[in-house]
Amino acid sequence: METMLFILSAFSLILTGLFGVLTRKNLVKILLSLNILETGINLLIVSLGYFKGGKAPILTNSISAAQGMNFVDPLPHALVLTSIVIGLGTTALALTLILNHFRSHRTVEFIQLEVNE
Amino acid sequence: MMKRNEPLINLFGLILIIFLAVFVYLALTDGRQGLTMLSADLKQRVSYSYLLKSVTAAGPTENQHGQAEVIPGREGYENGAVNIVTAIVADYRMLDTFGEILVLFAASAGVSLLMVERKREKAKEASEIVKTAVPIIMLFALVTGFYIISHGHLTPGGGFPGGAVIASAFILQFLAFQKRSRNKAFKILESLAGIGLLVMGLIGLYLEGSLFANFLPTGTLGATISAAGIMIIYALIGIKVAAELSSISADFIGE
Repeated sequence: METMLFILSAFSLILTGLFGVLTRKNLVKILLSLNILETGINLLIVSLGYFKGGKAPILTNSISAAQGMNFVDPLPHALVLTSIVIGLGTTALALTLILNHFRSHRTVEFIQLEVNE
Repeated sequence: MMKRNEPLINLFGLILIIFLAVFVYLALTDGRQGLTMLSADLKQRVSYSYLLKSVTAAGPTENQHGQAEVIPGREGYENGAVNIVTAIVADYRMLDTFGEILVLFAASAGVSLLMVERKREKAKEASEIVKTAVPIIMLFALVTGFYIISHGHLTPGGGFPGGAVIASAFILQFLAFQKRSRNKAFKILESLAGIGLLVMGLIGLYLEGSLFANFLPTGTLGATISAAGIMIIYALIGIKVAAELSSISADFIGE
């Protein structure tokens, strides 16, 4: 049930981000929507390894790996760690591109390019 | 002309999103695929061998000690890290992490390249309180960052969060004192850490036969100084991430 809740909220985040990407014209808002979408995808990946009562995958003396294996799946966590860092890098790059766009056109919106013939 | 189309585009987007939402909901509730994926047993997943530290051992359910159990305090387990997420990030799937670091490097280089140097108008100087407080906060942030990096194999954290914390200390410095003179030092440090990571991988390839294989002693499972390979790799990643994030933010602030 909890996993289902996680997945539903993840998909609502993804759809919110998708809506923003599809309908906004402001480049900064599009970037924000992309980040919301990315957060939703991260939540979805993590929730695929979750179950109720699962412990953090760190071995201690009281919980070793044999006792019923009540760890959550550690692989999605590692993948999401990668995904977060890459998201940070791409966001920084996209902000730089938007800044350059603003400098040359004095607007952060999509513009219709005028073709000189 | 653009303004007139706006409600129409919103409506179209909303309809598309509702359609997608219904589709996803049906797939999650009716189809078998989603539900079986959720209730899958951990023992049928790849992560089971990561948890048992038995990736290179003979059977998928036994590790080097021939047990289906990992006991902290013993010696001789694969890579020797208690934190399984760290074990995956810095050892089992290190090639993924190396690619991620390359992406971060590309992003940092792109920001430096595209950020056109511009004559900067003189900003207002920070107040005396800020100038006094920032070094103290910086000290705490640096110590926390080093702690997070050096305990990556024991507790949640590691090179990436620790590097981000250290970078936040440098961002504070940029903001309070408005200088970016050490930008070149960051680039050199970053390159050295990247070369160090590649050298670690190549030594692993030479000694153990696979790229980024662990060739250093693993130590006692759960000890503070253990898992030498992971400690070195995470220290290098921490330096690299801190330098990259600092140089990205220096580019943004100095813009």
